[in-house]
Amino acid sequence: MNKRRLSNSDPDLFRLIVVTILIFVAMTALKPDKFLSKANFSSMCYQIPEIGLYTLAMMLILVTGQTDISSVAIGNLCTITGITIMSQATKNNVTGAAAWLYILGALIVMLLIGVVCGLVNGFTVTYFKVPTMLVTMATSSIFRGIAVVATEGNALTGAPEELTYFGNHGFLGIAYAMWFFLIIFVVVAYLMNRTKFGMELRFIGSNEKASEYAGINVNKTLLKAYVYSGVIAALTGFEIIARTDAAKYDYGGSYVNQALLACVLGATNPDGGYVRMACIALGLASVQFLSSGFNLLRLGGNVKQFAWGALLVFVVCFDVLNRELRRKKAIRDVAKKHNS
Amino acid sequence: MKKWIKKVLEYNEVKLALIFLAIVVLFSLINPDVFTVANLYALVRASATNAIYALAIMIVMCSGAFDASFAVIGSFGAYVTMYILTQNGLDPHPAIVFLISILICMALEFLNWFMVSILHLQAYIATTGTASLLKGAVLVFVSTSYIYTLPSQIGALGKTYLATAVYGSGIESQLHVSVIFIAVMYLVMHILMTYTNFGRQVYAVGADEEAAERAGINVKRIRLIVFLIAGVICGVAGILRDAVGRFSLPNPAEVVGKENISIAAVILGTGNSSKARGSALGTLLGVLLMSFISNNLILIGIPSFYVELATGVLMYIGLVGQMSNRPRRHSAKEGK
Repeated sequence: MNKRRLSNSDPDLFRLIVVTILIFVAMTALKPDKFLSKANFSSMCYQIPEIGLYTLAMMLILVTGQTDISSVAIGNLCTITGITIMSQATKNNVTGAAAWLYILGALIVMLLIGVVCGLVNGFTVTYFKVPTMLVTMATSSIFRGIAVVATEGNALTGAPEELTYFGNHGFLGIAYAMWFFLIIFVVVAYLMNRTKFGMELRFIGSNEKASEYAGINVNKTLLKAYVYSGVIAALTGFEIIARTDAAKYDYGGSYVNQALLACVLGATNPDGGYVRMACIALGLASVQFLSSGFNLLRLGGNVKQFAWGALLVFVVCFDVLNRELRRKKAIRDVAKKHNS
Repeated sequence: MKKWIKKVLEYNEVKLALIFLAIVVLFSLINPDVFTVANLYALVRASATNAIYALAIMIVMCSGAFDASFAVIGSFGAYVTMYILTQNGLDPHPAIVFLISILICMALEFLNWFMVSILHLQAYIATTGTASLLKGAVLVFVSTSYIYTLPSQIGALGKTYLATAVYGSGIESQLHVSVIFIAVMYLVMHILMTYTNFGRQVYAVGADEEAAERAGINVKRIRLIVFLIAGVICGVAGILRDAVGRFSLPNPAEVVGKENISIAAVILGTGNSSKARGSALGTLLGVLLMSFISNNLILIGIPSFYVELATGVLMYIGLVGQMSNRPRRHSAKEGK
């Protein structure tokens, strides 16, 4: 009874709950002792934040109907800068409060880089009217290029223990990284659902021209979205430093596809204008359950790569057909009402 | 006379050629070895695969669509072809090898067309899905091993040279036969895009899909042909990479994951998807510029890890350069 009501009033959420439960049950059935173990859940707590943050960064742009693929490149540029600054503390044997000063300084610089990268993307998109996908393809080459040149392709390490402690420990049984992600998730959810900015972003996504005539400053709102996206990428970089104590220019290349998958699976319309934060959370959970399940089943990266691609294609095709059916049904309903 | 110069300079191809010449001269001044026939031959060999892949993405972008999977499709087609042939101990005529690869690639591009044109999916997202799917599928379902013994006639093709030149240091450099493939394909594409009704229709679809539809162009059909042509080009490029490289592997690192080099070349040659102006000549110049820089950075003493940065900067300049001389939309001004 309850379920039926939910399936009618909120079909996207209902569908995702079903999908998430199905994946969870399937993985549990395949590896009952390992998938339900505490170790598996705590390791998931360490993996979700990274992909989750990149998903949020991508979602902010996807809701405007464009695809931003530069988040991972921005994140890596930030980790490299951040760790370069932080390693000074380790080198000079600074500990305690003084080390936190280094960490704070690094964080500020990383956020600034995130803002600048976001501004570059946003400015190019809004001022020159170039499709975001092409712009971010070029800028991510530039960001990655800078990272390669700066590190000569090497991995950097040396974050102070004060920070890496938080990356590898938990509070109330949940990893600090997860808390960090949850806070940012709530902030982004608030931003999207309760603020003027979030509403305007959705309007722009569903119809840019109409939003302009409705008096929305489209360019300013878009620019803000790109800056926020860059800032989230920078925060992801901070989380990565805390967890792995390493920075490399090509870290996490597969996150672009996974983030895109989590967004699309999470009922975000790639044509823009529609996003549900609850669905994004469930989409993320589904992707993580699948990923962890594959690991436990000892299926390697190749199978995952195949699965992400197949799922992405399947989900976008399914969504389009589903929307088309819904639209036709709505037209039929209206026609019926009109006739009676 | 001055007017004439101004008019010529308006062509993007001319600008690009001048930039290319300037860079060649600059590099040659630093290292005279750059400006030699031998180095030119090396350039041809290094850029052969990318030059052909760039044609595939060019025609797709001219039609206003996008394909993130072209390099993966080409590699997939070539590897599967080689795998089938070597597993069964077959050694057919090279034309048949190319044909098998082309058919596989056309089938895969048909899938892309179906998603982009019939289901109206976002081209980038759908084709990223295809790319990821194929990249994994070839390793999971086909094989992960390198194929070192190609069918003998393809192997022979890889060792066919047209001419030999010598560097100042005495090292030989040879002109690979793939230069004929490049020349023929670019010529055919140039004629197709510039002088045929079909080419005009592709540009029309790319400039404004709706307007093209109302002008009586069958947009879906045009896009289908475009994607199938891209499939043919990918099939040829895949086999040619194997011939030049003398072995076949599932996801060759210099192709898969380096799509942005071809895309940057197309953008530099103004094959931009939102503007739908693109030409085979411009793309060729773009490819030459990109390959020349990545090939010769090391010769003028710049470490090769600057290549990625150079690619990105060139791509960005290409994007911004052609967009900035476009008339601003009125609506954008009213918004302020």
